[in-house]
Amino acid sequence: MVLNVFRRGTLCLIWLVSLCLCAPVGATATPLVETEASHSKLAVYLETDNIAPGRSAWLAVHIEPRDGWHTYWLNPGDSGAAPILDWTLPAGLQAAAPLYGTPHAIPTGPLVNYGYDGPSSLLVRLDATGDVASAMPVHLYAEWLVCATECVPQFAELDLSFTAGAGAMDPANAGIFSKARSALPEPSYWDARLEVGAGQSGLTVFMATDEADGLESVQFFPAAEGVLTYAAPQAWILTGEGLGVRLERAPGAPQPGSAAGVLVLGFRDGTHGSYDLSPELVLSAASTSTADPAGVGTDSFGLPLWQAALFALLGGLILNLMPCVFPILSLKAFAFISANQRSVASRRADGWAYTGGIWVSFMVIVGILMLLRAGGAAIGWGFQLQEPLFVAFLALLMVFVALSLGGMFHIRLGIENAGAGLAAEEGSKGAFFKGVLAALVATPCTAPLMAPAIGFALTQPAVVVFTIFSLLALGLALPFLALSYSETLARMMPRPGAWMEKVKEALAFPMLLTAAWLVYIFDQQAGSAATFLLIAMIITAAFAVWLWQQGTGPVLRLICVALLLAAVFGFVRMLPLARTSPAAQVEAGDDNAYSPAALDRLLAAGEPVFVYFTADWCITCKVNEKLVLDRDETAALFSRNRVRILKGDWTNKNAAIANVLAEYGRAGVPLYLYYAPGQRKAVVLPEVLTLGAIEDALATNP
Amino acid sequence: MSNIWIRTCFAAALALTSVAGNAAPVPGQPAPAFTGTTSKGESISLSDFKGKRVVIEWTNHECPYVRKHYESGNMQRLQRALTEEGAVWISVISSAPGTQGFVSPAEADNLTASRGVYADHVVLDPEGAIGRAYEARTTPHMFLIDTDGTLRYMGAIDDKPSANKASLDGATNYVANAWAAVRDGQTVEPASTRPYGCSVKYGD
Repeated sequence: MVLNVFRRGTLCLIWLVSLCLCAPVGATATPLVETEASHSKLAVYLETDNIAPGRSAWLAVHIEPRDGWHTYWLNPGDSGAAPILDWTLPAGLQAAAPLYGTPHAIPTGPLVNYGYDGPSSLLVRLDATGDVASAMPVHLYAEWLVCATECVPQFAELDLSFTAGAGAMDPANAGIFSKARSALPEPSYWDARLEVGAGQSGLTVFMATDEADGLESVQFFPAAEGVLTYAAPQAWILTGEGLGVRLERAPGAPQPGSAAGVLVLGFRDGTHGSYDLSPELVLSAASTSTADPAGVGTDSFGLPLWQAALFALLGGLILNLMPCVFPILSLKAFAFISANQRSVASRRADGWAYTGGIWVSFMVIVGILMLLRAGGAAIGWGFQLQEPLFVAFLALLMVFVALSLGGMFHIRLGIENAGAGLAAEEGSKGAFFKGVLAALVATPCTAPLMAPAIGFALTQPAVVVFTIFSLLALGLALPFLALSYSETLARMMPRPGAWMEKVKEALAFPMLLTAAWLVYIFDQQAGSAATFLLIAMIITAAFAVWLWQQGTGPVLRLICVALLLAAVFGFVRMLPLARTSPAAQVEAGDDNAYSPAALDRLLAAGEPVFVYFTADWCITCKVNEKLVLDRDETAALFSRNRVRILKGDWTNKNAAIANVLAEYGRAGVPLYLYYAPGQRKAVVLPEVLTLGAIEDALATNP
Repeated sequence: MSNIWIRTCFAAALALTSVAGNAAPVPGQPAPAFTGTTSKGESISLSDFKGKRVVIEWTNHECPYVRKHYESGNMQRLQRALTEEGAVWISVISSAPGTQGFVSPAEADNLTASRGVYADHVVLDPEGAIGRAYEARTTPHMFLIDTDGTLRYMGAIDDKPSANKASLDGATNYVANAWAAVRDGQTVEPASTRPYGCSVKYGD
C-alpha cells in the first residue's frame, strides 16, 4: 500500500514536472529536422549529440497537430491510421519499432478512436554497430494522419544526418525525452490473461487486492484489432483473483494475433496509472478444442452423450426428492389432489404446462449461463442464489406464499384452487408457474448425479447443452407428468374435502422454513445490517398486503401499493449501503481459505492437501461436512497423514473457484480434491463423501 | 401475479433469442439484410441479388483514403474486373447531411460519371441504417457476399493502411483475393481484416 501510494505519487510528480518542462521544450530543444505540413508539425530529435558506435541512441519523432485535431496510437481504433515511419538507414544502423505514449479514447460520433489530442512523441531506438561510418545520412518517409471530424493525411520526405561520436547527452533535448518517457505506459509485473470469444473478450489481470485499492476506472487499449469493440463500455470487477474486465467484441472481427495492450487505471484520489500488459492470449475456438484439461476430472468429460443425457434425466428425477425442492414437492402433491376433480384433458394440460414451465426456466437459466460463460465471467450453476437481491426476493415470495397458504390473507387469483397463493393460479398458467418455481428452487441442489452432466454440458457446444438441460427439465417434471396421464395413479388420489384446507395451512410451514434458509444465505452474503433491512422489508410488504384486504376504497388501495413499492424500492436502494463484504473478511481472517496462491505454496512445499469447495446454500455440501468432514475420525485421519486442508467458499461469486470447478468439469459445488505429496494433479473424491473414500484416496496416493 | 412471472420468463427468453439472432456481420454467416434507395431513386434489397455475388463498398469521395483508391484508378480497376466477372457492386454513402461525403442523388451520379466508376448502384444512406447494420467503420470498408447471401469477406480493401498512392505498389488487395477464392471454391483467407480510412460520418 505504501509502495502503491509512492508509485502513484511519483507518477503525479513526473506529470507535474513534465507539465513545467512543456514550455521550455520548444524554446531550447534543437531538432535534427523539422517540417510543417498543412495541419501539423513534425520534428525529429536525437537525445545525444551524436551516435556512439556499438551503442543505442534514442530518437523522438514529435508530432504537433493544430488545436482541436488529433493523431493516432499504434491501434487507431475504429478508423484512422497509426503514423508510418519508413527509415532508409546506412549500413550498421537499425531503427526499432516506435514506442507510443499512453493513448486516449477519442469518440467520433458512434465510433471511438485511440490517439492523442495534443502533441505527442514517438520514441525510436537506433542501434549502431561498432563499425558505423563517421557520417550517417538517413532518409525518413513519414506519413501521419491528423483528424478533427475530417481527416488530413500528412506526408514528409526528410533527410537527416548523424555523426559518430561519444554519444553524450544533449541537455537541450532532455525535456522532450523526459516528457516522451513519462507519457509511456509503465512496464507491468502482473500476469494477465486475455480470453477472446466470439461476442466477448475477458481480460484478467492477476493483481493483489491492495494494488487495486481505490480503483475507480479501468480501460484497456488493445494493440491488435479483433480484441474488442472500441466504442463499447468496459465492465470491470475485482475478485480474489484480481481485476476482471469484460469487453464486448464484434463476432465477425478478425482473430487478434496478440493480446498486448495498455491498461489505464484511474484511482479515487485522482491519480492515473498506465501499464504495458502482455497477457497470455486464449482464443476460445482453440480453448474449446483442447480435449483433455489438466487434472483427473476427465471421466466427467468423457461421458458419451447418451450417458450424460441419461444422467441428466435421472438427476432431474432425483431433484424431486432433494430437500430444497421439498416444499414445492408438497405443493405438487397438493396440486395432484385438486387436479382429481377436473377432467382428464385439463389434468394433462396442467402436466404439460408444468413441464413447459420447468423447461422454459431451465432454458432461460442455461441461456444466461451460456452468455456469461461466453464472456468468461466467473460464475457457476446455482449462481442465481449468489445474487443477494435474487435471494431476498425469493425469501419475500416464500413468505407471501406461506402467509397465503396459512390463511392470513387471500390472493384471489388461486385460492379457490386451494393452491399456494402466488404459485397456484387456476389451470395451466398456475401449473406453468409451479414449474418455474420448482426449477428456480431446484437448481442449486446439484444432486450428485447432476454435477457430471452439467460439467459435461458446460464444456460442450450450445446444442448439446440445451439437449442435456431439456432432459434435466423433463426428469424434474416427469412425476407430475406421469400422474397427469395415468388414470390409475390419478384415481389413487384422495377425494377432495375439508381436510384440504388443513393441509394447505400445514404447507405454509415448509415454505417458512425455506424462507428462513434463504434469509440465512442472504445474511451470509450481505451481512446482518442488510438482513435487518430484508426482514423489515418483508414485514412492511406483508403489512401492505394485509392492509389491502381490509377494505376496497381507492385511497386505501393506493396507500397499500405505495407502501409495497416504498418497501421494495427502499430495500433495493439501501442494500448497497448496508452490505458488507463477508468474502473479504473470510479471506483476511481464515488461513484455511482456498486461494490459488495458498494451494501453490502448500504444493510447492510438497505437502499433501485436501481441498473442499462448498457453499452455504449447497445442502449436499453441508450434509457431507456434517457427516464426514466435521467428524473427529476424519480430523484424526488428516492429522495422522499430515494432510493440509483448504476450504473454498463458493457462497458468493469467486472467479478463482469458478476456474477450479471448470478445470474439473464441474459447474457447481461440492467438489473434493486430494493432492498427494509432490503431485500437482488432484484426485477427485466422490460427491457423496464418505470417510472410506477419503481413506482410500490417502492410501492409494501415498 | 403469476402472469407477471410468466411474462418475465417469456421476455427473458425473447431477449435471449434476440441476442442470439442479432445479425452482426460475421464471415461465413448470412450477411445482414438491407433495403436502400439508390441515386437513381430505385429501392434495392440485398435479397434482389440472390444468385449473384455482391461487393459492398462504403465510400466518401472527400476522404483522402478513398481518394487514394479513386484518383489512382485502383478502385475503378477492381470494380471493372469484378463486375465483368458478374459481381454486383454497390457503393454505400452513409455520411449524414452536413458531414463530409454527403451528396445529393445528382451529385452522386456526377461523381460516378466524372470518376469513371463501375459501381452498379450507389446507395444513399444518410440515416446510417445500412452502415450500422454492417458495422461499417471506415471509408473504404469492403464486404463480399456470396450467391447464397453468405458474407465471405469484411474489412480493408488492401494491406497498406496509407493515404499515399505510392502504397498501392505491392499492396495485397484483400477484396480481389477474396473474390478469386470464392469464385474458385476455396476458403477466403483472411476473411476479416481491420478496415482503414476515415471514419464513416454518421449523424448522432
